[in-house]
Amino acid sequence: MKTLNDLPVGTSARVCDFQGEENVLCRLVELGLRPGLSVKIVRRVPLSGLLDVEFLYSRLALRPEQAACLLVEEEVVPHDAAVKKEERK
Amino acid sequence: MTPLLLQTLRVGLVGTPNSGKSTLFNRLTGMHQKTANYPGVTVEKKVGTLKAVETAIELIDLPGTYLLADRTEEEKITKDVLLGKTSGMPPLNGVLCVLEGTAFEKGLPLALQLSMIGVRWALVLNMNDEMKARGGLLDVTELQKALDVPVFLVSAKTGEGLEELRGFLEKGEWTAEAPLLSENHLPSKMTFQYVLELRRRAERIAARTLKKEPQSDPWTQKLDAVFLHPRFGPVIFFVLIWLIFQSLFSWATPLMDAVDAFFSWTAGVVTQTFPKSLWASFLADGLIAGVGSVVVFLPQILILFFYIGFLEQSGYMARAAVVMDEWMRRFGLQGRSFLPLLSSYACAVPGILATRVIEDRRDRLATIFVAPFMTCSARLPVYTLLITAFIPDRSLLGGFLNLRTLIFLGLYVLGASAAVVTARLLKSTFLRSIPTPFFLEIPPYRWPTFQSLLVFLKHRAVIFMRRVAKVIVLVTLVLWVLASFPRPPEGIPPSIEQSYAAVLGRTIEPLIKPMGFDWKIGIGLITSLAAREVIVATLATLYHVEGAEAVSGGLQEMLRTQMSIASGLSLLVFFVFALQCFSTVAVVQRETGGWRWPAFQFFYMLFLACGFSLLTYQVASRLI
Repeated sequence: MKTLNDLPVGTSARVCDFQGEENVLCRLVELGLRPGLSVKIVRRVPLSGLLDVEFLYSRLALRPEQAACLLVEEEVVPHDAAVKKEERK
Repeated sequence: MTPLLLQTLRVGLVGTPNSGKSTLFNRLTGMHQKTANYPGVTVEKKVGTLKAVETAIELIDLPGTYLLADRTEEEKITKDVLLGKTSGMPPLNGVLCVLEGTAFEKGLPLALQLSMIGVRWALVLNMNDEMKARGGLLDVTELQKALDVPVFLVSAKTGEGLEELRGFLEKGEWTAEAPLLSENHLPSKMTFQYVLELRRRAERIAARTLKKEPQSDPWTQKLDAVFLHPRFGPVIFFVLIWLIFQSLFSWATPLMDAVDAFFSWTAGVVTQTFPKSLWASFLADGLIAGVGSVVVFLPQILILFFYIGFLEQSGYMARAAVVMDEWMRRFGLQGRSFLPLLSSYACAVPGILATRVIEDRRDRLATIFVAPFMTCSARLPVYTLLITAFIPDRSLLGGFLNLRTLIFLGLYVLGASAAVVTARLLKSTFLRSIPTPFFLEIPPYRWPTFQSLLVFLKHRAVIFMRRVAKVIVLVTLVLWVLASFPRPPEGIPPSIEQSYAAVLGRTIEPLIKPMGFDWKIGIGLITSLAAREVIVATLATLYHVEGAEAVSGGLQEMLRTQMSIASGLSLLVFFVFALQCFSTVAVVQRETGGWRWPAFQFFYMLFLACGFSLLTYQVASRLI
């Protein structure tokens, strides 16, 4: 299973599960992440190498250790719009 | 006719970090307090009063949080106030829950929790202007139905929707007896299942109510392509810092000269109006010289705060924290320590309060411990005075860099180095802990509103002038008496060398002589224990009593005749390290809950100050 760290910059993926320490997972969910959510890797931040991730119309910077808590499956890009519509129902 | 005040309505303001809660607070109350486009900036609850016709409405601004929990100090403050458990504070009549309109789903779990504890509340979705600009659309009626509370779409920035919100508060629907609150529906310990359940409910509500999704902000994308560029991003960051320092010197000078001229003129008028009286000497040499010497630095401090306010509120600071995370980690600190340390550049007191966002107690202690090493604005007067007195105004690298700016920057770097080395030491010895996870929201770039910047600057100016009025006036008075008495017999000109101050100073002179300080500097070191900038007023008073008016060029000229360059450098270094600030010691005592940490901190910093000062003087006096 892939984690958020394995995704190339510029791609989107769907969160399918969480792994790791409970308090870290609580924080991640608090910040808006949940299974089924589509996330996009915007860039790696210079100097620090943090992941700049976009989801729920806002952005979050994550350390690689925390990005590893998110298990994801890759999304086919043209599919994206259709899935989002389905998500809204 | 005065309107009858029926009662005071107490309304709490809660919301997620970055929801623009503080801007809304300012907008509603017109009260002066700090707001910033940065997660976790509101740390102390702030109270303001809203002018209404029949009811006085008191707004209480609470620390931003994503959930009601008690993992950090901030979360505890918010939760306790909401549950009416804060001693000395009656329960709230109602709560406004402020969320970022564009990302409201993210903050909905907090709103859902408010329903669970039984408070009366309303939802305020802020930044509606941004929501519209980004093409988002929300079904407000549906959202009201889903949550069963009033919902307001507002923009604290443009003022949109604020009339309706104010009207709702004034209508007094919340004036009745405060409702019964209960903690029963909150878990005693935050579990993943619980948070996920809240998140699922938020998702369902958002799916029903969000009709059009907001698009990414095109400006933020463009700006981040530059500011977070792999190569140019860090370069721009360092160039920005350099520009700030360069302009702190060059831009402030004309303003400072104007203030200086004003005080010299006033002192001149006083001496001419009441010639040769003790009172004139007291007014001109004591009060005006002492206070004036410090007030001169107000423009410079305000320019610094303008930069800090602008960078914070625009959202750039959050990027800086994200870029610097790796460096912070290398020194044993975490990304969350960055904001407290950064605000310590303005003043260590709010910086130390801002450490409440740090969950890990050991990390928090380490951050509190090193915060006073950051060059606070109170050091600015001392640095500027000594640098302009002793460092020649020379261009380097063909005008690209000025020698004075370089030394100035060097002092900041020295302080920061002391902080990181100390943090490293603490974190690898008795404050060792496992690295904590780090996440930080990256807010969209937002143009700071003129009002919020102005309110911020005014607030800082008031704090500065209050310190001048309290500490500096008092210290100057005592000092003037000590330096002017005993009066010599008639006919003999008064000499400061015979004064009580001189006697006092001479007793400590042997201790500080190896660092290159004479007794006058010694007196300054003692008085500046209260606050760093007091040394400037102290020296101004001492030199004035001694007859400095005779010397043109003011305090700088006077310093040059009294001290060698080596002594000047040594004094600069002393101020980089020493913890000369009552307020900081007091706030560390309060935040750490005892005298152990502030005492350790004070003596550690004093030890470094004396050590490095000694080294500087001994080396410099042999070289120069």
